[in-house]
Formats: sequence, structure tokens, C-alpha cells
Amino acid sequence: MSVHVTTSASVREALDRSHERLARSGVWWDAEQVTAVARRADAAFAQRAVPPWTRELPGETSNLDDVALAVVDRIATNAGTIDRAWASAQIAALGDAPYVELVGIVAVAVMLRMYAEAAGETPSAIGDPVVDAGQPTRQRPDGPIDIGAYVHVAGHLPMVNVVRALSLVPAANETFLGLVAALYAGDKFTELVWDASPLTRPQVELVASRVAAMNDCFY
Amino acid sequence: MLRASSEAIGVDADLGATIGNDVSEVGVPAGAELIALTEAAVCGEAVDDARAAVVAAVGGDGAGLAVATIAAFSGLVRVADGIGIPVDDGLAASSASIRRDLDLDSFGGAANTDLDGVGGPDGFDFADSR
Repeated sequence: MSVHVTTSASVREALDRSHERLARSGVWWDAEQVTAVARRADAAFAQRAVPPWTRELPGETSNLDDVALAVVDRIATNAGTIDRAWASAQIAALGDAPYVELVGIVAVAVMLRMYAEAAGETPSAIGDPVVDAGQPTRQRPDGPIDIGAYVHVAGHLPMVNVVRALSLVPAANETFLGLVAALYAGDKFTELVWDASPLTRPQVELVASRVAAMNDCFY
Repeated sequence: MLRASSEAIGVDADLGATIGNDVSEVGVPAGAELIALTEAAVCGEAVDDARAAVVAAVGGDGAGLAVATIAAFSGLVRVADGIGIPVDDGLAASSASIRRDLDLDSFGGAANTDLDGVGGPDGFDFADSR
């Protein structure tokens, strides 16, 4: 019999809210494309333990071109090997903000799949696109700045770089960070001692560090 | 954060466990169980036994937080590597010894950071934002 973990109400709410976002129009990709990206990322990540050439992935007939599909697959399954040359080529083909939004959608889809798998839950299928959810506004934030990343970030966010990584598409950044905050640290990030927590901060950071190392993530 | 938070509560954590070294004496309570669950989950392997061991060690709420952390960082690493963000100013210098000990500078993403700890192209100073 499988032993399950306890999922708090706030985490469940954040997971459900993020699932709903994956069926709605983004800033640069419409609802059908967002859903196609999420489904592709979910499928690729779910098959991460098998060789790439044996994976069965949706999307070949969707309204995503080969560049977008390649970005989704790489971010979902092999992001640690991305370098500036590869990223620059994809960004040149897609545009910087559409690339950023893709990264955000994939990250959220992966987080949802990972939570379900590790918690012993049946992963929820990515829902059908909401047809009346509006159209992409293609709006860019004012004053993006260069911090040495592959893309610029919003200049009005004087925070740690991962917090502003997706800020070229503020809505994507908000969705991503909202889920991250619910899953990890929340408003306790600067506190080294977590008194009212079921795990100590070192226990949580041990897990976090191992995930980062296994993904070859330098940051 | 592992080093800082461990020092804050008087725990001597072995940072080598984070890169796959022996976890039997990681120094963090239930560390071996937490690492086993993390590794199984990241690799996409069966996690039932590892999850049961974590629940037995830290309870259902603790296991829930461990799972949530695995999920959160599975997203964070993809954003960090997909966007190519450099390590925040100041951290590059302060983490030099850890990076050397754990050979983290061999990770591909290290190329995105000025490892001498000099500010980014826009002159952003993390210390000024706190």
C-alpha cells in the first residue's frame, strides 16, 4: 500500500490555481499554445527516465513550431546543459519574451508533475484550453536591463536574480513565483531558523541542494 | 543556505551529500531518507519506498514539505538554467570555497557568472537591494 504525504490547504490551492493557468492565454502564446506547451512539457518530464528517442510526445500536430518544441523538451528534461549559444539561437528564432514565457510554462508544468509523482498522487491531466480566455497582449515591461543572462529582466525588481528571471513577462513571473512561494519558504526565506515547520531549514535546504546538484544547476 | 541554516542551529551538515557523496553521516536528521526520496524523484524512479521512509522519519507533514521542496526546485533550476541568470553579486565570492570543494564550477551554468564576484553588466549590486 502506498504511503502518502500530507498536502497543506495552501499548497493544494496553489497547485490547483497553477493548473488552471496552464489552460489560459499567456502574454505571447494563446491558450491553445499554452496548453500544448504544458502537455508537451508534462509528457517529456514524465518520460525523463527513458532515452529521448523512445519518448512518445504530443505536439507534432499542434500549433507549435519545431523551435518551440525543442525549447520545451530541452527545458523539461535537460536544462542543465543549456549554454548561451543554444539559448541565443532559440531566442533569435522565437523572440526573447516568447522564449521567457515558454520557460515559465514548462517550469510550472514540471513542478506540478513532480509534486504529484513524489507525493504519490495521480498527476492531473493538463486541461483543455479556455477558448474565451482572451488573446495574447504581447506587452513588454518598461526599462528591461541586462544582468548578464540570456535575456533582459525588468529593471524595477532589485531582488535575487531567480526572482526576476522571468520578469520580461510579468504574468509568467507572477505565476511561477506564486507556486514556488507556496511550495518553498514562502515569507520565511530570510529566516535561517524555522520554528513552526515540520522540517528544519537545513533539512529543506539539503533537499533543495540535492535537486539543484542532480540537475547540474550552478545557480 | 544549507551551510548558513545548519550553522544557525548548530548542525554540522556535510555539503558533500548534496553532490552524491556518502549520505550516511550527512549530519542532518533524516538526511539519508530525504536524499533517497529526492534522488528517486528527480530520476523519475519509483518513489513509494523512499516516500514511506521519509513519512516514517519525519511524519506526513514533513514529507509533504520535502515533496514540495523537490517540486519547487525542479522548477527553479529550469528557470535558472533556461534564462542563464548569473549568481547574485556577492554570493560568487562568498561561495568560492564551497564551489571549489564540491567542484560546482564544472557545471555548465558557471559560465553565466563572473566567478571573481564582480558586478553584472548593469552594475547591479545585490547588497544595495536588501
